[in-house]
Parts: sequence; C-alpha cells; structure tokens
Amino acid sequence: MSLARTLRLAVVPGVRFETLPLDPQAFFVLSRIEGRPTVAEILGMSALSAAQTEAILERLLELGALQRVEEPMPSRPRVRQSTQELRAQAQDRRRRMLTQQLGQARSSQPTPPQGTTAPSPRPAQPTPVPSVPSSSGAPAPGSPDPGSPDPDDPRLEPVLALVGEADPRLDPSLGLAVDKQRLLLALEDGRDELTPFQILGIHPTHDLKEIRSAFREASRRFHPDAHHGRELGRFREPLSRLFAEAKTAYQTLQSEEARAPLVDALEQEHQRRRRVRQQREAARQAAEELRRRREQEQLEQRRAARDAQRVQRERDRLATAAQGKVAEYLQAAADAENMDNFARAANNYRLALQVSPHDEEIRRRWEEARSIARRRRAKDAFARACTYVEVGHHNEAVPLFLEAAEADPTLEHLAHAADSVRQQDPAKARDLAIEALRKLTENERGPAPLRPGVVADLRLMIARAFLAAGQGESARQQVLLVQRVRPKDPEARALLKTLKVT
Amino acid sequence: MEYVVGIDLGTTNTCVAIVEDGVPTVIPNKGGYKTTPSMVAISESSKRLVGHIAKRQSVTNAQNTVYAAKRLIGRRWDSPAAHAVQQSCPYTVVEGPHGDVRIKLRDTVYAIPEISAFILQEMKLVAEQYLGAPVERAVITVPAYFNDNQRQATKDAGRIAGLDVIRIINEPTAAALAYGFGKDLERKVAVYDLGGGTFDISILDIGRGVFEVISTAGDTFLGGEDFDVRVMDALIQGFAEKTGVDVADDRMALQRIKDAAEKARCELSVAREALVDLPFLYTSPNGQTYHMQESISRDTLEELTRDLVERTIAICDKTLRDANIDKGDLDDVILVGGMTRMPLVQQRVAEFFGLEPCKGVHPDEVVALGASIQAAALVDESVDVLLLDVTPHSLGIMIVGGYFHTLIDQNTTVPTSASHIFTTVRDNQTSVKILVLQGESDKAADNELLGEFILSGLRKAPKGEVEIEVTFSISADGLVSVAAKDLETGREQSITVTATSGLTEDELQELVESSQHYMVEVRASEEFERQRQQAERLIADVRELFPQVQAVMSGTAFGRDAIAKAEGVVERAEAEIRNQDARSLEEVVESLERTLNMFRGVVSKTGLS
Repeated sequence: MSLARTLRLAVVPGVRFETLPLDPQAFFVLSRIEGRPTVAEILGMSALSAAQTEAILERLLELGALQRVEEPMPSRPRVRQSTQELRAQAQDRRRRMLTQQLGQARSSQPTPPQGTTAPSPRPAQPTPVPSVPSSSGAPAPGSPDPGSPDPDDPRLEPVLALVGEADPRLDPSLGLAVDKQRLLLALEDGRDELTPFQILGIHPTHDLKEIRSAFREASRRFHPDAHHGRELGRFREPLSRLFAEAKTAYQTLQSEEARAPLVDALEQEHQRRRRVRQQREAARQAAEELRRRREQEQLEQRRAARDAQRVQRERDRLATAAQGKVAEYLQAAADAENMDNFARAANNYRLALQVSPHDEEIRRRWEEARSIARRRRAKDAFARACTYVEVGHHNEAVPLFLEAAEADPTLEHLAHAADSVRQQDPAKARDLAIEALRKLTENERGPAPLRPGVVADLRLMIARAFLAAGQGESARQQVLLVQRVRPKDPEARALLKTLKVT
Repeated sequence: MEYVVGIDLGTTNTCVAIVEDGVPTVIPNKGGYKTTPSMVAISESSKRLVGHIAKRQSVTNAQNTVYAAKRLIGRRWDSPAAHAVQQSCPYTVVEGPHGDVRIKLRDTVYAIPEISAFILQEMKLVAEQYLGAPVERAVITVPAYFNDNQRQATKDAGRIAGLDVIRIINEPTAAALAYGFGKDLERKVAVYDLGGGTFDISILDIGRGVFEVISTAGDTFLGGEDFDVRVMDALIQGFAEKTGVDVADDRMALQRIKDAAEKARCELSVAREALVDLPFLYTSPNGQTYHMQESISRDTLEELTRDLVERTIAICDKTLRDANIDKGDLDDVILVGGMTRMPLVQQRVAEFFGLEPCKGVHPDEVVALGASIQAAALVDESVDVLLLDVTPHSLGIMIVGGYFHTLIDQNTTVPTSASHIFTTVRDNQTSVKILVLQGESDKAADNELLGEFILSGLRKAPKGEVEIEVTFSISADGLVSVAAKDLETGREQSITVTATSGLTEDELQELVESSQHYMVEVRASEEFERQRQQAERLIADVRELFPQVQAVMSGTAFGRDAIAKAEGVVERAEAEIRNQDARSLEEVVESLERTLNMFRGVVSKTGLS
C-alpha cells in the first residue's frame, strides 16, 4: 500500500505523542508536520528515504497521530513558504546529523554493512540502529578531517539494519524498549554471518580503545543484569547468548589478524565507493557540461536568429522607406517632365536611383531625361550664342557655344564652338574641330546627309578653327572642299589667301 | 520503597550496607558497631546468640560457639578443609547425611548454611531496625574463589534467613565496585583481599561504569585465622616450654589463647610489641594454677607468618602471568580485608606490584558497600553500574579414565554456557550419568564435585544413536545449572541431581520454615518483653496503692470484693509473666490498667474528702 503524494495530512489535535510507541524517526517526521502538508511535501522535508517516511506516515495514521485532510488548503502561497522554511530546516538538520554521525562513526557506533537485514514476513523498511552516543572523540588513524564529512565513508551507515517495526516477534509489553528488541532480533536473525564488529555494534577499526568501549556498551545492552527484574519474554535467552558472543567478539578482536581482514574490507569498500562516486561525479559533470554547452548553443542560435530578424526588419523598414522615397522622386520627376523641366526630372531620377541603384528602368529614364535636359540646355545655349553672334558680341557667345557642344556634341554645335573659341583657345578649337570633322564624316556616310550648303558652312568653320590652331593643311583641305561646292565663295577665297601667306 | 541490602558475610565479621539516596552506607548494629562478629552460639538455656553476644561468651561456652563457619560452608566432609577445622575448632563437627559438614551444638545438629543463616538473620534484623521497613532481598558477597557448592550454600543460607538473595557477588569485585562507584574512572586495578578466612586476588578493568573482571584467583583457606593459629601455636609452645603444661586439651584455655592471639595480631599492626596476659589460664588436676604472660614483637609475628604472606604473593604472581597482564598496566592496588592492615602485607604488596596500595577504602566495610551498590544497580534504574564477573574455576565433567574434561575455562566472563553432546554406549540405554566438577586439575578426583546428574528416560535405540546435548550454564551469580536436550527429537531431557553436598530442597524448606518460626518467636519474645515490662510496672504501681485502698474500702462488702478481684488480677499477671505467654499477658495488662485506674480514683477521692 502506498500513500497518494497529493494526500494532505494533519496532526490530530490533542494526541499525547509521548504516550505513543514511536521511535525517534517517527517523532521527527511528526514534528515536521505543520499545517496540512501533502505527502509529497512531507517526503521532501523528512530527510529520510521516501519508503521509510511513507512507512512512518502509515504507522502514524494507524496510531491516530495523523489524519487525512480532505478539503484543499485555503491559502497556497503561505504553505509554500512554510514548506520552504521547513525544507531548509530539514536540510540543516540533515547536515548536522551527518556531521554527528561522522563523529560517532569515528568513535564507536553500530553500523554494519547492508545485506544483513532480517527477513521479516512483511516487507518492512529497515531503519538504522539508533545511534548510541559516544564520547570517545579520538579519531581513528587515517580518518578524514572531522569538519568535512567524507560521503563515501561506509561508516556513516548503520552497522546493522534493525528488523522492521511491524515484525510480529516484537512485544511492546516487555520490559525492553522496542528498538532494543529490534536490534536483538536483527542480531539474532543475522547470527551466523555477523562479524565480531557487528556484534559489538561498531565499524571495523584497529582502535583497541574503541573496541573496548564498544564492548562495554554491548555489555550494557546484553548483560542480563542490565535488565534485572524485567519481563524479557523470548529475549531472555538471546540476551545471555549475545552477551557471551559480545565477549567472544571482544576477545577475538584483540588480535590484529582477526581485525585486519574486516578493517581492510571496510577500507576497500570505502575506496570502491569513493571510486564509484568519483566516476558518477565525473559522469554527472560531463553530462552537466554537455547540457551547458547545448544550452549555450541554443542560446547563441536564438540570439543569431533574433539578430537576423532584427536586420531583416530594419531592411524591410528601410526598403519600405526607400520605396516611398523612390516613388516620391519618380513622382517629382514625372511632374517635372510634365512641366517640360527635364533637368529637374533627371535630378529626381538620379535621387531615386541613389535609393534604388539597381532599378534599370529608373536608370534608363534618368539617362533619357538627362540627355533630353542636355539637349535642351545645348539648344538653349546655342540659340543664345547665335543671338550674341548676330548682335556682334562674339566673346559672350563663346562660352555658350562651348556649353552647347559639351551638353550636346552635335556636328553643328561642335563646329560653331570650335569656330567661336579659335581666338581664345586654339587647342580647344582644334579638338572641337577634329570632333566636328569626325561627325561630319559620319554624317556624310550616314543615311541623312546634310545639304552641301550647310556642310560648306560647317567646313568653313572647321577650317577657321584649324587655321587658328596652326593646322594650315587641314584648314586648306576644308576650304578646298568648300570651294568645290561654292567656288566663288569670298570667304573661302579670303581664307585661301591667308593660307598662302602663311 | 523496597530496600535491598548488601551483606558482606565474612569469616570473622559480617557487615550490612544499603544505598540511600545514591550513597552507600554501612548500617550499624544495635550496639553501634559497623561490623558484627560472624559468631553463633547456643547458650546454656538453649538460646541462640549471634554476633557480639556470642563472641563475649565464647570463652566460657567455647564448645557451643561457632566461629568461622564460612570456612566450612559448602565443604564436603571428606575435604581437607573440613578436616583442618575439625582439628582446630572447639565446637563439634559431624558428618551430615549428604557427606556434608554439620555442627553439633548442645545436642542439636546444624547445617552450615543454617549457622550462616543465623548471622544473616541478625543482619536482616539490624537493617530492618535501621530502615524501619522489612528487608526481603539482599546481595551477598562470597570470596571470588568460592566454587559452586559454596556459592549455592551461601544462597541457601540467605534463603533460610528469609532473604531473597538476588545476587551472589565476589568480594574483591564488590570492593572494586565501592572503589570505583560514582567516579568516572578508566583504570585497571588489582584487588588484594585478605580476609579472616580467605584470600582473593582479582584484576579488573574499570571504565564508564562497567566493572569487568579480567582474572581472579585465590585460596579459600588462607586468612587471618591462619595467622592467628600460627601465633596461638607459638604461644602454646612457649607456654609448654616454660611450664611443661600442654593446654591442647583444654578447650577453654585454647579459646582464651586464640582470642589473645587475635588481639595481639591486631595490636601488632600498629604497635611494635604486644603483651599476652592470661592469668589463671590453666589449673592442673592437682590444683596448681598457671598464668600466661608473653610478649610478642612484630618481628616475631612476621617471622611466624611470612610464608602465609608469600603464598598470597605467589598467587598474585600466578594470576598476573596466567592472565597475561603486565604489572605496569595496573593503575592501582586496592587492599581489602582486616588482614591487610598488617604492615608486612602492605609492604609485600607494594613491593610486588610496584604501587603504593590505595588507602581510600575501608578494608572492613568496602565489601558490604560494594554489595549494596550492586543491589542498587540491579533494582534501581538510576544506578548505572554493570559488573562483568568471571567464573574462578574451570567447569567440566568426568570422562573415561577419571579424567577431567573442561567445558568452561576459568576466568570466563559470566553468564556463560557450554554444550557437550553425550551418546549412549549400550543398546537401549535409558539413562546417562554425568559427573560435573569444578577445578583446575586434570584428574577428576582432585576437583570439586558439584553434582551427579542423571539423564533419564532416554528413548530406546541402538548404542550411539541417541545424542543428548547437555548445556552447562554459569549464571551471573557464578552458579551452575544444567539443561539437556535430545538432539534428534529436540525434546528437553529431564535431569535429576542425585548428589550435592548441600541441603536437599525438603531440608531447605524445613529450615526456612523453622527460621520463620524463629523470627516469629523473636518478634513474640520482643513483644512479650515489652508486655512484661509494662505489666511489672503496673503491678508495682498497684501494690504501692494497695494499703491506702485497703484502708478505705475494706469496710464494705463491695470494697472487699473489689480488693479481692484486684489481688486476683495481680496474681494472674504474675502467673502469665512466669508462663511467658504474650497474648494472655496482654489481656491481663488491660485488667491491671483498669485496676490501677480504679485504685487511683479511690485514692484521689479519699484524698479529697
């Protein structure tokens, strides 16, 4: 039978615990119960094994010291807090118990290895031998520092497990404490395999003083005089026999040969446990390490994902923003185009292209608008230059011709620019003339050649530019070509004269 | 609360103690002495005398005064000890019906436990008077070297005296208990106990309230008495040399010399010289009187008894060697028993152990105190003392060839037990006889026979098939018991004790009854004595008033009648006093009181008129 972990228990008020046949563990468990904790909570704070605690709880229920509580707790948080407190207390207590036990284990106390549990008809939970206080504080040679309990020390365990509390042979009516009866039964049951140390109730040691002390304690437990005049029932005979056995054990343990194998076995067990624990510890640490690393990785992955997301979001946000900007610019450009202001349109297309530089459509439109804007500007400059020329302001016309040639290097613009700049910058004039000549040649070979009269005018201009640049021969060629079209052209003649002079 | 006393039943002196409020205290006797001589006498009027009274009359009534009964308790008639006592004692020793020793005093034969019981009974009375409550239970000490027969006999003595002896403990152990009680000692000590009749040496390991005896040995026939005999012999010899008179046949003279020897021996413990002055010691048939006037020096005494002291030292030495104990391991030596006052003993003990003997215990009282502590430890939970004693002798059985087969070694801590399997040697054998002995000799005959046990009612089977496991147990008292079991059937086998040196159950029962009867008598005689004193006082008062009353009342018939009645009452009272009938006397006392009142009334009225 087992108790539901969620079952709540409470101490029955008004029960006089001192009148109940309880052992110290049961009292301890009872003392832990405040309010209406659940079985699970009690298990957590009892500092005993779960099965043991459960057995004790069952017993307490049986004895009527505890009752089942049906309704749930009114205020949960309060209980939680008190549970925590209790748990802390229990931990503290356990620590102290451990320290104390260590002290006892070093001096003299019952504690045989496992495996000697008495076979009892009911699967009762073995509980440890009640600790018998001992004042001999001399630590056994080689024992660890008393301040730090060695968890691997098998001497921390009871020398001998008592028989279960429900053993039918126990008789509380006898003049012998039930715990003592349990010890006696355990000793009797394990009779044939007990070591002398177990009979004396101590862990193997070479310390003769401890052995003597244990024998004295054992004498107090077993000698018939210690129970003089009390009803001992079936225990009378075992007591006498156990006393004799304790005496024999004591005598046996005087010899080192008798002690050595037992002490060695203890030491080996100690070493084995230490090894096992170390291995376990190492494994645990490795697992812990692995877990930590995995956690770290997961953390990093999460962080990276978060970063990527953020970047994406930013990017999206920016893209959205750019889209708006581009649209704005494009709108402005379109507006400008509608207003026939291609320069402004080109500027807006450029801005849009800066935001979205890979948009070929925008680039195309930008280039288109720009070229239109240039041509317009060239045309405008050319027109204004022509106006200056007509009124005789040649010098004012020069930069305008140059601007037109630059903005839209058409044959006409180049030729006029070369002609106009020939006085101020002959080198430039020559470059422009060469370019114009190249275009003229292209045009002549192209599908829509200019009229010969126009071409002659242009050639004259080129010739003047060449002449200014000192390239007489080129100039002469052009003049000659002009004379082919208009043989009597005065300007051409004048030019030829100049050329001959030079 | 029920009292359990501790009694040191010594060879020469007995002492009773009790733990009161955690403090062991010696109970003084009626005379105010802390110890009572272990002497019993039967007076000329067949009255039983115990203690100091017995001692006082021992010279004049030597033949009917028993001293040192302890030397005979549990002894067999054919033992050398009994023989020796027979030689040296003025009282008559006779053989009992079971080969035991008995003492004949004024035509009545007493068993030794009975004599001891007289002493115990006296101690019981002393304790009851002191405590004002009945004392039913006691712990009694015996020399550690006592064997089972002696212990059993001592226990019987207690039973006869109306005491439930809850434990027999060893004297040196008791002494150690008193020495270590209430102190948190962790020591190894030797107890050297040289008493009036026995010598014991015990080595104990004391620690945390556990008194563990490691080893014990002794001599139950070596004590102050032997020292006295040496002095006595010397005195007699000296007397013979001086006067040519041999007093060996004169029991009264011998008793006087014995007393003087004892006194001189005690004196010499403090003085260098003691004077023995016995005037009119001997009167020859021709009427010539001889006086003894001898002076003994301490050196002479030591010369005479040195070998006895050396014997004790030899036993100590052997004990230590047998138990493998180094003298250097001992922390203390405790001296117990009156004899240890002797300077030679102290000196030799100190020399041997290399330790100055412990002076903290009273050698005469410490044993009784220890017994009372053990009593308290048994019945009182708050007294946390545990005694682990050993059996002083090996226990065994006689095997083929008259050899002794040891089952339990000496110095084994008690309680202990050992088993031995017996088989039948003949077909259909139905009984097996087992001789149980105690002792250290290989030859059964040299050891003390405890008893003959007969395993009877065995099932019929071919020889060797019946296996009987006999378990010999020694209790914490050091008493032996035997149980047998058929190994095959598991049936408990009946055992009959056919021969012991002690008393049979019937005899014991009879003695217990007569002792109870005696106690009733003692109580009745005390009561009678009280009544008698009261009656005599009343009679005297009545007589005093008689003339006056007669003068007033003899004038009337009524008055004369009253006077006659008063005379009758007085006469009856006197008769009852002579008859020693307490009950009737009680009635008469009432009548006397009425008469006296009446007389007083008459006198006062006439005085007024």
